[in-house]
Amino acid sequence: MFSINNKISSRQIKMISIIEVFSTASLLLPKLVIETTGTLGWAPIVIGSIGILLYGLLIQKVTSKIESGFVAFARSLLGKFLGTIVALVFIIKLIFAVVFVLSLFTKIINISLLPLTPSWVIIFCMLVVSSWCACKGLEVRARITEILFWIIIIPIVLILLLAIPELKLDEIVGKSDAGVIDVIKGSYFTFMICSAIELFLFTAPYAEKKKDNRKSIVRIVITIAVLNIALYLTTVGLFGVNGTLRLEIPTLNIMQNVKLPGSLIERMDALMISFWILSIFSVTNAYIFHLATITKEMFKNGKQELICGLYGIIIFGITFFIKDYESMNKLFPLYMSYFGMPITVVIMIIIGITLLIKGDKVCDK
Amino acid sequence: MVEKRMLSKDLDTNIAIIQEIFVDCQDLVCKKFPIGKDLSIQVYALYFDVMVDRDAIENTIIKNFISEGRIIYEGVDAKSDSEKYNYVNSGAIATIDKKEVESIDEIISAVTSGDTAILVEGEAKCIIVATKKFPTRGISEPDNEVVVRGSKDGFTEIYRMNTVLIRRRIRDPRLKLKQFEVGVRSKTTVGIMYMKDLARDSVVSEVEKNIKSFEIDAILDSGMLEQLIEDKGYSPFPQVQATQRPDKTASALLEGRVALIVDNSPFALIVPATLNCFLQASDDYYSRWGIMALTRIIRYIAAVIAVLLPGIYVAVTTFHTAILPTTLALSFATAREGVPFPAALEVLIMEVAFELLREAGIRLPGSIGSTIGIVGGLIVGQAAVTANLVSPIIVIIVALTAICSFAIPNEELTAAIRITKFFILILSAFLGFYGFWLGVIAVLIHLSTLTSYGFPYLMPFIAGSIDNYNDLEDSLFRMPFRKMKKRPIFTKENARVRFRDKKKG
Repeated sequence: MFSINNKISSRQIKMISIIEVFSTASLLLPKLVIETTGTLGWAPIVIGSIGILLYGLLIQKVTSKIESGFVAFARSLLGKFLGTIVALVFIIKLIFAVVFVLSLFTKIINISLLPLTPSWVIIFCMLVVSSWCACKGLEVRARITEILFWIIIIPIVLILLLAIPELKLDEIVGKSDAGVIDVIKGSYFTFMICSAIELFLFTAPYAEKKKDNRKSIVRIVITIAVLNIALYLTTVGLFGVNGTLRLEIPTLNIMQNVKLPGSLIERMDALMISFWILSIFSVTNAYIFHLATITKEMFKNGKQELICGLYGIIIFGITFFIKDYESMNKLFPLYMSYFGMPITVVIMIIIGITLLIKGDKVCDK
Repeated sequence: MVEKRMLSKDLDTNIAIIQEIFVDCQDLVCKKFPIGKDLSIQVYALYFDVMVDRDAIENTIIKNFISEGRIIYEGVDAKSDSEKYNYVNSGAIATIDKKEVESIDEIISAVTSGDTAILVEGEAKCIIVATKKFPTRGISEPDNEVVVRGSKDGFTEIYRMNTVLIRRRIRDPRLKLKQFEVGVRSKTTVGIMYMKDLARDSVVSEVEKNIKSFEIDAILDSGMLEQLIEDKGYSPFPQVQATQRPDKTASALLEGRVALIVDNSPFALIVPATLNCFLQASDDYYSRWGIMALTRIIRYIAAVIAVLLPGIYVAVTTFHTAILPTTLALSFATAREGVPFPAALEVLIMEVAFELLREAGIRLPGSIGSTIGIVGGLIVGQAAVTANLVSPIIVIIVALTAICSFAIPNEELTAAIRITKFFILILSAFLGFYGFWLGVIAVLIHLSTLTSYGFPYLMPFIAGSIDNYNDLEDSLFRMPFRKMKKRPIFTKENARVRFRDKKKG
């Protein structure tokens, strides 16, 4: 009946996409834009978000032509060989991304919740739960996100609101030495960090009403941009530019500085990290799910459960090999800046142009 | 398929077969006797003692056969076997609740169900007269679903009485009842009740399909059937709602849901059933909406506390004491001073002890059961605290968890919550808040995969857009009746309106 049609609503798509993008961006973006542009940090977020909006609209245009799956579509559009290469590029990017997210997550858990627990235990547990969720399919993921969305977003918004009285206005409106190049660099970082919007490519084809996808992508990007700007303003308003640069993950420190009225909870960060666990779970299971889906489409066969389990093992192996966040923190930005991000943007542009040329002749059935 | 054993025209042959089947069944009453003016028609009647209404047998069958039949129907003795049978069937039995069968197996089924079988010499047919009258207790108040306001009658073990209790609440010919026999040996009567114009055809047919999808010795209670017709029988969470209340069943039928009535069981089963259904009680609708809306919210909070509180306590006291204000942390530490066990073990011991008390209280007779509560809860609890085996705070945690679980109006859901509580408790003991949230996520994944007859288990909190979020009106919050204009998603799409305000035209 309702539960076995492998379709999800526009509302579910919006929630999934917001969580997928914002979860990582919220931890990394404030420091990166302050590092590059100081108090002018809002500008790269706005410009980067416009870039993400355009990229998102391009992805939406492409997804409007996808009937059965992205890989089949890419193969029918670009030929079997190139289509497979495109799928492999996305697989590598998703694996990199999930490994980075898990390394970052482990570091945060080690800092704030479980300092004595080995990182492999933290990663293993998260991978087990995420793989299990991913193997249950898109509808189950959409349902869980509908519940988790509010558990994640409400406390974050609450924290941002509670932080308002503590903000120092002079830190926010202070002078910045950033030039145009810095703003462009910051915008690219924003664009790169929010590139999880690409996952829309794999989710949108399953929308119940595809015609709503255009509206959805606009709302997703606006919501993320507003949240990112609010988080940036809170960070710079609380710690100033110099204070932020001294902190490793300033978002965590925002939570430490905010007090709940009534003094029921002393350290908000430990509680807030709890909510971050949920968002990281949402991201991890999304990556594993899409990895499994792409692989299944590539080989036109395979059990979702088996492939998700296999990816769980592969990702665990890589994180075990890399061992710490510091190594990954050096490697991932390099990969993303010079290969991961540019190549997928180029691919999407090529697909968009080919679509324009071939028009309605494309059929992935 | 096993071939039916057909009746013979020779009465003695039929009697021999029947007697062989029912050998050593000394509660079977059977007799061959002649009727007709010249005593030329041999008949054979059989029934099980006490399962039947003896008055009905004597007044509608025996009296006619023996006293009146022999005088009134003159000349019948000279007629053919077939005409004699017709005379017995249409003229000598004073009831319209009868039927003809042609096989031995149908006779066995009817007689073991409390009907009386009458075989007539010379005809390979048998007349089955409905004479069921089982020993029964009267209608009493449902002990599991007590309400402050609302009817006090509950289902009994008698199938027909239960269907009547529903039909007297919905006097509408569109209320349909389909009957099945389930259980190879028990041949339990199972009835599917639904509103023809409200229930989705797909749900009704799936219920029918599920009932026919298995072969089992016996269905002794609706609880057995419940487990066999669920979408995922291995889940601790119930996907079929069981109720002792006819008004609740009637209300469910009017929402387009399907009820199953099982003979010998005082519980009706209702499908589809989402998590929201298990947190609704009958008097939510009989008392004023404001207080019941508040009660509904409290019930949801209670369910969450019942699952999560022990896990949160263990996570905080074992791993994250820093999140507590200093005074509260000190108060916890003082309370735990001298206790030799870690907090996780302490909670586990107390929770298991509580489960034991609960089990003992149920199994013991009423008066001793309540004594166990006093002895276990008060005396042993106090002694354990005084002996420094557990801290007083643990007693509060366990008691609060128990009180919250009692606020849930459905026993099956409470049981599921008890299991889930232990799962989250153990994860929290190993990984603190991280384990706690992993447990919560795992439970959410499981709940998200569950469906009840195609309806996602977490509806209307998820996938609410399917019905334009209409079902949220009767979920976490109960809206006033004038606002609840539409039936829930379970109903057919074209029959959703249930309330029209005539004042507004």
